[in-house]
Amino acid sequence: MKTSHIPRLGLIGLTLLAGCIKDEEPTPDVRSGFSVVNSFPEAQAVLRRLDVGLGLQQLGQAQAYRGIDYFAIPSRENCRMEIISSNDNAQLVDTTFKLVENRYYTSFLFGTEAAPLHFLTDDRLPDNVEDPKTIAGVRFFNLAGAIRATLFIGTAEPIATFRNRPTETPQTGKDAEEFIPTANTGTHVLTIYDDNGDQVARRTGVALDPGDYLTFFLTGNGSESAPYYIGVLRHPGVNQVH
Amino acid sequence: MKKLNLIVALSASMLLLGSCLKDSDPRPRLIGGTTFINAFIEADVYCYIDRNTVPSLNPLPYRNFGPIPPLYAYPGEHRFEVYSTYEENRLVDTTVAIKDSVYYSSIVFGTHDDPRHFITEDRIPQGVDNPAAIAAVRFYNLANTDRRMTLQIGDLEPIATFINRPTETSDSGKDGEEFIQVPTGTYTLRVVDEDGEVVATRSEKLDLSAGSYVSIFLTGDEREPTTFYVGRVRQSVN
Repeated sequence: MKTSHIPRLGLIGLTLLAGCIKDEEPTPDVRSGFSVVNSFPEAQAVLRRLDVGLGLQQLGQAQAYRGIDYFAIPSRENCRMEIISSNDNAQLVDTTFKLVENRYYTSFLFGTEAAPLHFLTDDRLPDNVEDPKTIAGVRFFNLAGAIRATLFIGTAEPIATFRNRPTETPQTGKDAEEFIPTANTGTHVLTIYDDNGDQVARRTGVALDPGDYLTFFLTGNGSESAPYYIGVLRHPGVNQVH
Repeated sequence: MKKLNLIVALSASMLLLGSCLKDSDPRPRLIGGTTFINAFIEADVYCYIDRNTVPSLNPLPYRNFGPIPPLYAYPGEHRFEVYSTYEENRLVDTTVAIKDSVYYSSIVFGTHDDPRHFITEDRIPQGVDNPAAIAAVRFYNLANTDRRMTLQIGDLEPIATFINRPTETSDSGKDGEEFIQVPTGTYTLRVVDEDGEVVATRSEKLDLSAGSYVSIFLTGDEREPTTFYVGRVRQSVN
């Protein structure tokens, strides 16, 4: 019986080919996670432009008010970002920041046409978190105008720094970038009260499970065109110190 | 050369032997499964089992149900979640103990403010010798209303538990999971409130021939009375 050479040659060929493919693997892109939040009620939409070394280029599409989006963008020491309003292409923000590879950041746009405001958070956990998948973490920013806000997550007592929070400044926003671990998991109704004790916003069905990291933000100015609204950003990733 | 021949021979024989073994393994019959019913008027929904979307229900529109055949899940604890297509609102998050060879229905209704849900076991009524020879129904008031609703099946004497039903809760839904035998026939389905006012009539008659096991439900919302609708889902039972 003549031995067929085909299986033998096939086996040899496969081994050689596999070796080739391995040797020619390209180095992976270094990227950072970049969430963007539009809490700027005075324009229909805004446009972000990023310079990652090739000049300012549009990031995604125009982002409507209350929009939340996520991009994986090339990491670099100095990334310049410009934010333009749909109102006559007014420049709202022109800033530069550092993006470290494999770290996650969030860009928050808020304020008014007269005084636009922005801050970038490093979306980081406290030092002592062993396994991020076993806990939940939350942040709260008051990006609305002229109101001191208290956020209730379900029926639990509000977290201390979520009480009577005045409208952020870029500094207070940055200072509050660390997630606060919470054991208050489940499906929650979020409510926000002003300092008169009146409820100004409510949002139902917010899922907070172990391993979830959420940023809640109050947006709007209480007017008919921009009522107070609770935004929820579900983070695709968080930064551990080690 | 000789060594390579041996390797080739070995791999070839393992391949052939392996496929032989596979063919003679008895395959378990996958009986039972879950039907998802969306009576949540405010949105279409996404259904998840163990954090995976249910294929083909992506989303499940209002007044729709599926999959057909019901989705099989291995016996044991499973996490059921239902999300609204509005703002990723989670409506349901529960753990279900799935039993071997049982048919279930997962029914979501209510509002974003007050989402409601229950899971039924879909069984042949007790004491029925020949399930293929009878017809049986159950009725749920899944509407957003304060009125109590009664189901009229043609001119049949209204069944006691189908009279003046308030909107279901998780408990009442489970308590009402039994199918109740009715004479076979073709019937006009009508729902009336406690004052006898007609709330909704199903435009096509319901064919309850032998072997029919049907869930009948009222859906709709008082905020817009034209939304009241009598739905029906033919179910697998055992």
